Amino acid sequence: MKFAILILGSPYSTQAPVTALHFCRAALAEGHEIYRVFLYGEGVHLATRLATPPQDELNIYNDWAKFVDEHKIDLVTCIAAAARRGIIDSAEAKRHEKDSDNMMAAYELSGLGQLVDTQIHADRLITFGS
Amino acid sequence: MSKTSLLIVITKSPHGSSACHEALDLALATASFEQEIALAFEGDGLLCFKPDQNYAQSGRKNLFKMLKALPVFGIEALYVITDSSELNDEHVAGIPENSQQIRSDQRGELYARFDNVLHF
Repeated sequence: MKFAILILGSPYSTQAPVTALHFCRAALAEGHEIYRVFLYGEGVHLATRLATPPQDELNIYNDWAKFVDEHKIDLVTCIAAAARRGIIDSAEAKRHEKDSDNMMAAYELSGLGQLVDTQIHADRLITFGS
Repeated sequence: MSKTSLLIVITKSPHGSSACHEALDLALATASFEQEIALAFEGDGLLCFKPDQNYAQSGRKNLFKMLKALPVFGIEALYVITDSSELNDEHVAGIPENSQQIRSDQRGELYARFDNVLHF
C-alpha cells in the first residue's frame, strides 16, 4: 500500500513526529511504500536542523533526517506554515532578506498543492497530531 | 487531474492557535485544485461563526471574513456537528444558512462520505 504521512504536531509539544517515524519504519518493513511525508501547522518545527537536544535524549530531528536520507523519502514542508514559524531554507532566507536559514537540506519547502497531490496519489493519508 | 474528496473538521477555537486559519488555508488550496472539499465545525470550532470578534486584538487573521468568502472559492458544503442544545443565539447568528447540522452520533456517516478526513 502507498501511504502518505501528515505531521501536524511539533516535536516537544506532542508525540506526533516520534509516532509517525515508528509508523513509517513499520510500514516499510512490511513492504509498503511511503509516497510522501508532509509537515504542516506546528509539525513544521521538525524541519529545523538547528535543534540540539542533550546527548542522552532522543534526537527526533536527526532520526527523521537519517530516515529520509536512507529511504529517499519525499519530505515536504508547507512553505507558508514554515515561514510563519521561522523555518526557512536558503532560497527563502535570501528572498526575505534574512541573515541565515535553518531547514534540513534534504527537505523541500513547497505549497499546499503538494498536500492535495498527496491525497490524490496515495492510497491512505495518515495524520499524526492535530 | 484525478479527483479526491476531503472533509476538514475544525474543532479548535479561532483565537487559541493558528489551527483554524491553517485549516481554512488548506480548504482554499484544495478548492483551487478543483478537488471536492467540505468543512465541518465542532466543539470550540463553532466559535469561528461568532460574529463581531476582535481578531485585531488577538493578532490573528479574520476567520469570519474567510468563512464568508468560501462560496467565492466554490466551497459550499458546510456541516455543523453538534447536538442542538450546544448552540446558543450568538453562534446561530453567524452560521451560514446553507450549512447542514449533523448530530454527533451521525459523525461516522458523514466521515464515510469522504476519501480523507482531517482534523484541525
